[in-house]
Amino acid sequence: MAAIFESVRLAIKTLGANRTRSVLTMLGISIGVGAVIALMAMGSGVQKYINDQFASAGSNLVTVSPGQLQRGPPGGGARAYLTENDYKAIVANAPNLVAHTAAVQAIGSLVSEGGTTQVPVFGVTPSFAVVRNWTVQRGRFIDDSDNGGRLRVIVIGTTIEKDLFGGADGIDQIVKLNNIPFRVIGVMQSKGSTIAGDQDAATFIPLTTAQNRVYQTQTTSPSGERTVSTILLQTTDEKVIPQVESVIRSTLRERHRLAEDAKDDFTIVNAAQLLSTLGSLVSVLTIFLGAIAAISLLVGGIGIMNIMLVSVTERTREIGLRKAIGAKRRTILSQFLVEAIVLSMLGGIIGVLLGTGIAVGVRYLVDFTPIVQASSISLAVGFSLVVGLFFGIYPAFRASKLNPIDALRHE
Amino acid sequence: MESNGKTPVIDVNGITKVYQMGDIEVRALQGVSLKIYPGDLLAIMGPSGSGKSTLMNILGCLDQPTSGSYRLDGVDVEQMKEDQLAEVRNRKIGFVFQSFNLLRRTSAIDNVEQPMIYAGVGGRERRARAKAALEAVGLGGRLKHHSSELSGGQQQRVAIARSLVNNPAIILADEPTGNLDSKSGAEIMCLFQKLNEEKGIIIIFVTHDPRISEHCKRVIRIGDGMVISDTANADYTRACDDKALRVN
Repeated sequence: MAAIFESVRLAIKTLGANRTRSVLTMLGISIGVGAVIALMAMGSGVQKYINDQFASAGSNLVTVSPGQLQRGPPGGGARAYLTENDYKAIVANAPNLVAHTAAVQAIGSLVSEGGTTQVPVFGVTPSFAVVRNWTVQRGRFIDDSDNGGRLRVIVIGTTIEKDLFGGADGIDQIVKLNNIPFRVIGVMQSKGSTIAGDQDAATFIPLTTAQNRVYQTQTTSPSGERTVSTILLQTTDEKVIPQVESVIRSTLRERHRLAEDAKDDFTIVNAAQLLSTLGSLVSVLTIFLGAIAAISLLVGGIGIMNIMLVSVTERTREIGLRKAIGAKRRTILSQFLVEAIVLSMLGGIIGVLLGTGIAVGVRYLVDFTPIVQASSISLAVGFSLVVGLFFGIYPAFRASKLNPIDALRHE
Repeated sequence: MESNGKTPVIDVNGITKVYQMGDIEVRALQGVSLKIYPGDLLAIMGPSGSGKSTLMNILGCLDQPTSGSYRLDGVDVEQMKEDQLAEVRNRKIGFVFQSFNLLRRTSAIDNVEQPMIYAGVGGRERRARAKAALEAVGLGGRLKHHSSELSGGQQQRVAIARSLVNNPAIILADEPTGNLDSKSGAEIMCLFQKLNEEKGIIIIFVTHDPRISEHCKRVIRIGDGMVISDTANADYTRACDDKALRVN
């Protein structure tokens, strides 16, 4: 132990004697390690960001929408809508539901004295807020009496409120949705942006109002039934999702009279599935970026080898002397190896600080918070140790093999 | 030389050294036999190409003879492996070179400590012994000085302190005054004589400088890889007077 401490002390002293060169050599490793740490931190930051987004939406959420999202011609014939009766049948058949809602989703033109804006409009029932886990900041959400009376009331997101009313309170103001006057009854709690866009730009009106007053044509099937654009089901937990999905599928296929070999004319998406797809995408991306960063670590390692070889040549006489006064082969080998390792480890430690600094700094530039994980630090430091060992062994071996007589005569 | 009943510290018997340089076979040593006894202070002299450097390398265990035997301080070294030779060099031999060969950017005391590090001497004892050795060569006041801050003579004293510090049986000095002016050279010679007389350390100079050989008790001349003459120096003189010799 004392011997190791002694050789590390000697190595630091020797490296300190050639400070500029040592620092420049370390820089290669520092940049590599820093890049690996910063990228890994950003990767896990994005991962967590996505997880949080879905957690706020609920990972036990199943969404049913009409049509197929897949490429190619739409399967199962021309029918690409879901009716209110489809919704009722699903709710009647599917087990393990905590909450459920059906909604109409459309685009509307919203006009107030302050301006005009195109917005997504949701025709909803009160359960929508429950299923989506959304709450109002001020006023109230759509309730049953709004739906019962097909009232022209609207709940808006904070972005819309700002767009239409500047900084002023939007509650009880009158806005025009597709030229129909609506009274603002509530402003949603801000949810921020997601990968799906600005969640605070949405508006909500009663489902019945949407179906009967604003979007009559879009919400009527060829046979005259009322349609919905999305059915949201919240299950008791993630494990029952496959079971719920199979019930939904059989119910809808039966109701839509799809042939055995026909494709679904509806799409079932669950958040957990989407989450894992996105999650694996992000981790692939993180690994890919990390691998690119690791290449610079490799280049840094070659820099260490280069400098160590130069150092061995420069210090040939020193090596000769050390051998003459009793240094054994392995003593010289370990001296140069320890120097290479100290160089790469110091570079690695600086890289950890650099990477952590970048990760902390990035927090102020992006929506997500990079997470520096202990595992990525130990990975990076461990890797720089291996780099030092791997690229240091050859120069050290060369040094240890020098013949003391020739080395002492070297000029 | 007469043995005076003493056991030789160095007992070299019929050693040869043959180098292969491309197609040419170079016979650097062609059967050298030597006995060196405790208290010897000798010069090995010869022109370049005589084989004296080869002999020095073999005596210093930096190289091994092609044939013949070499017994150093009771140990047969001609068959030893590289690491064993390193150990022998470390414990039994001190080296002093023409160009001092101190470690750069390293203090005098750190330089002197090096051989003890390889010998595995603990830190505190190392410090004490290095300090004592530097005091013995008159550099007690310059322990922390780096070699760049010392004169040539002082640097060579550090090198001598380094060669002394593991209490070797012999010190091999290769043209130790070659890079020094005559005054510093005389001081260094004086120091060697003092070490020889006071501590009984065998000192072997390898040189072609007659100013060294006149301060030695014995002179061995080498030519064409053989010992030409081996004589006691009747004109042995001190390099400095008695008074100077005692001053540190």
